[in-house]
Amino acid sequence: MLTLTDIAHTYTPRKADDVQALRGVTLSAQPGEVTALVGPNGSGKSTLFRLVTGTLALQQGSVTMNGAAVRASRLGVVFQSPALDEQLTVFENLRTHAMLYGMQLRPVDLPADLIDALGLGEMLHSRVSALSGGYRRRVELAKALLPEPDLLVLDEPFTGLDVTVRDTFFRVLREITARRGLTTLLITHELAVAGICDRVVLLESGAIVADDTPARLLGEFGTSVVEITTSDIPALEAALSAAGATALRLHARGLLAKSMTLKEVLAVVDERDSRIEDMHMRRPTLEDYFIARTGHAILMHDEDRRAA
Amino acid sequence: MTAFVLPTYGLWQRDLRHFLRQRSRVIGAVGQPFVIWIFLAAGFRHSMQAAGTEYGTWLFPGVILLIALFAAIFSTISVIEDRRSGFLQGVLTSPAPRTAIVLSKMLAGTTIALAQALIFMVLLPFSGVSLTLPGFLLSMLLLAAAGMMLTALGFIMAWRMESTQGFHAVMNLLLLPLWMLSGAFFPLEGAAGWMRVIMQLNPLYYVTSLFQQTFFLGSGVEVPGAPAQALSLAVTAGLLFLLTFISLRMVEQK
Repeated sequence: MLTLTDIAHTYTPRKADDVQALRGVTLSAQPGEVTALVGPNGSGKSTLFRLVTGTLALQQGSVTMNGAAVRASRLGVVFQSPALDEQLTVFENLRTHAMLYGMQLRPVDLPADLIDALGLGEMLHSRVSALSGGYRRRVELAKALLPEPDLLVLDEPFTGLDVTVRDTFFRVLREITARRGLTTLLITHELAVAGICDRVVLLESGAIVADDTPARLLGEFGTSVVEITTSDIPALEAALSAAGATALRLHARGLLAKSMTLKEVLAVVDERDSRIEDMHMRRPTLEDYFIARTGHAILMHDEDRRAA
Repeated sequence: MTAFVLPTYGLWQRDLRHFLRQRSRVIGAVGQPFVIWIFLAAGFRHSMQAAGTEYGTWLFPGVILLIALFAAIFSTISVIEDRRSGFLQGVLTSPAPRTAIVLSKMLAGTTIALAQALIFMVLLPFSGVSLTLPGFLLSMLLLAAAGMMLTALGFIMAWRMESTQGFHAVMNLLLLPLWMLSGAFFPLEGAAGWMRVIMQLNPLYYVTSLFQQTFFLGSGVEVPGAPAQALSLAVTAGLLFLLTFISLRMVEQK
C-alpha cells in the first residue's frame, strides 16, 4: 500500500513570492486498485508525482510503500511526455531500461503475458519512431512494468490519445493492476477515466477535497441530473432553487439541476419563459462533483474560455 | 556491482547505437578532421613550418585532439536532447546510480573519439610522422584521458542547459579557443609573449604537449619548450579527476 502522510511542499523562486504547491496531503492507494489523482492545472499533481517518484526532495511528510521508503527498484513510472529513444527499436528500448534495473534481457526473457496484453509482439523490432502514439504509450507501460514493480505511477498517460486507444490502454492497465496486485496511482485530467477507477482523489490548490470511490462521490447526485444551456443563468438558477432543486453553475452558459426530473425542470423553465438552447438528462460526472465542491471546473469549458 | 556496471554499459551501448544510426552525424564526424587536416596541411605546406617540421606533421596530433573535442561536444549535447525528449527522466527515476549517467557519457564520448582517431590515422603515411608502437599505445591512452575530461566538461555545461543551440554556442566559444591555444594549432615557442602566458595558463596546453610528445615518440620530431612531462601528467590527471568529480556531484543533486 502506498501511503502519503502530511506532505507539504513550497517552491521558492528567486524573483517571486513563495508558492505553496502542497498543503498537508495525506492519502493512501491500495494494491490491486487503480487510484486516480485528479485536479486542475496548478493543483499540485505534478509536485506530488515528482515527490512519489523521487525526482524532487521531500520537504515535509513521508511517502512510504508498505511502511518503508519507496525503492526505485520497485517503482514503475509512465511519464506524461514520452521517455523512449526513437532511434532504437522497441526491444532495444526495453533492454536498455531493464539494464538500468540491473537486468539483462534477451527477447526470450520478455514476459509473454505482458507483451501479448499490450499487443507488442509484432512490433519488438520496429523503431519507436515508426510507431503510432498509442503504441508508444504501450511501450512506455511495458517498460514501466518490466522490472515487476510494486508501485506504478502514471502521469497523464492519455495525453494525445484518441478515446478508443485511451480505453484500450486503461483496460490493459486495470487488468494488469488487478492480476499483479500492483498499487497504481494514475494522475490524470481525464475525468471519464477517473470515473471508472477504483478510487478517486480530487486535489485543489494543494489540498485534497475528496477521496473515495467514484460511486460514493457521485451518490449525492442520484442517478441522473439535468444539464441546461441558457443565456438566462442567474434568473433560472434562482427559480430552480426556489422550486427545490440544487442548481449548479457548470460554465458561463451552463446550469446543472440535481434532485429534479426533466419534467420538473421543464415546468420551471415554462413558468419563467426562459430562453433555453439545450436541455438534457445525463449521468452525473466527477466534473459535476468537483464544481459542487470547489465552485469551478477542472478543465476550463469552451464557453468560459470564450467569455475569458 | 551489477547495479552499477549494467546501467553504465546499457547507456553506453545506447549512445553508440544512437551515434551509428545517425548517418549524417557519422559522415560529419569522420569527414571533418580529414577536411581540416588536408586543407591546412596542404595549404601551409610551402609557406609555414612549425617547430622546425612540416606544418602538416605538427598539426596531425592536434587534429586527433580536435576529434576528441568534437566527440565530447556531440556526446554531451545528447544530455540536453535526452532531457528534452524525456528519455532522461526515465533514467533518473530508475534505481541506476546517477554516476552511471556521467560515466556512460564519458565512455561513449571517448569510444567515439578513439574510433574516429583510428579512422583518421589512415592519413598517417602522408603526415610525415613515423609512429612507434609505444608512441601509439601511449597516445591512445592519453587520447582516452582527454576524451573523458572533455566529455566531463561538456557534461557539466550541458547538465543545466535547456537549448542545444546555446550549448553549441558556449562550447564553441569555450572549447575551440582552448584547443587553438593549446599548442595543437601552433607551437608555444613562436607565439607572442602575451599569448605564451595565456597558453601556459590553459590546462589543455599541458594535455596537448604530453600528447604530442608521446605521439612523436621516436619519430625525431621535437616539441620545443614543452613543459616537464611530470607537470603535464599531473595537470592531465588532476583535470580529469576534477571535472569527473564536479560532474558526478552535479548529477547527484535533485
